[in-house]
Amino acid sequence: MDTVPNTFPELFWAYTAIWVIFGVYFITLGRRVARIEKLGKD
Amino acid sequence: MQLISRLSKFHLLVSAFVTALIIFALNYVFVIVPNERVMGPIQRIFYFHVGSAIACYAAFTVVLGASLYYLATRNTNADLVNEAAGEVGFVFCSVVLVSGMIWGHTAWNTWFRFEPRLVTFLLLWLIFLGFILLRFFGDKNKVAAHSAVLGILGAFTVPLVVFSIKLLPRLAQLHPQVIENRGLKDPSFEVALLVTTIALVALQFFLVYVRVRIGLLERNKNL
Repeated sequence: MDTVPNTFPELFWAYTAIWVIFGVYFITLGRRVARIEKLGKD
Repeated sequence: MQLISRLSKFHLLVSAFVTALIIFALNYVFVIVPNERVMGPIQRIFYFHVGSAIACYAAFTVVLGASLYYLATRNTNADLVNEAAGEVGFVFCSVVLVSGMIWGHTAWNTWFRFEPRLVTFLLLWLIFLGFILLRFFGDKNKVAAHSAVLGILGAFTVPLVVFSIKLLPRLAQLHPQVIENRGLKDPSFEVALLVTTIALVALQFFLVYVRVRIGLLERNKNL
């Protein structure tokens, strides 16, 4: 009987890379917003 | 927090809706869809890989429209939309590239190969990397026009990527043509792809909208 190969680790790393890329972009956006708000207070 | 408190109920509803779409898509990808027989679990990256590619093409279509409008009218709002869509499109382009490389390494034992679809997509990524760098380092007086021209060039690369598989003989191709060859045998594969694509395209438009609002606020503060 054919068994399905265990490629879960590669799947984990692929989705981790995706979330890291999105996470870095969201953090960048957050820093831009924080800079705007800091200037608004000054 | 002040910015978030100023968000209207409509904006919060939209962000909650997009989040729910992503969670629904993830549920389909990880819970409902069965394992693919040959590649096993790694095949599940297909849905985010293809969905991100379509979201990236949608963003670059917005870049094309905004760039043409800016060059025709010199409207600064069009330049803002161009910048936002270029940035978000680059993020989705990076997702496609990285997920594809990991999947390729698992399936073909190679991170990258010089074949039509992969090379043209890398070209697209490099053009928009240049777009991002131009916005950072370009001459402030001319960056809007220059990035509009670069955006149009990048947007015209998209059909090159999509139709690259028809440019050279099949023997020269490595990238699979799953959808064209009707390779999604289980109906749940098709539904998962549709759901994930809708979720990611919605996320892309929402991020462009958020980025445009940030750009407007920065412009008002003369940043």
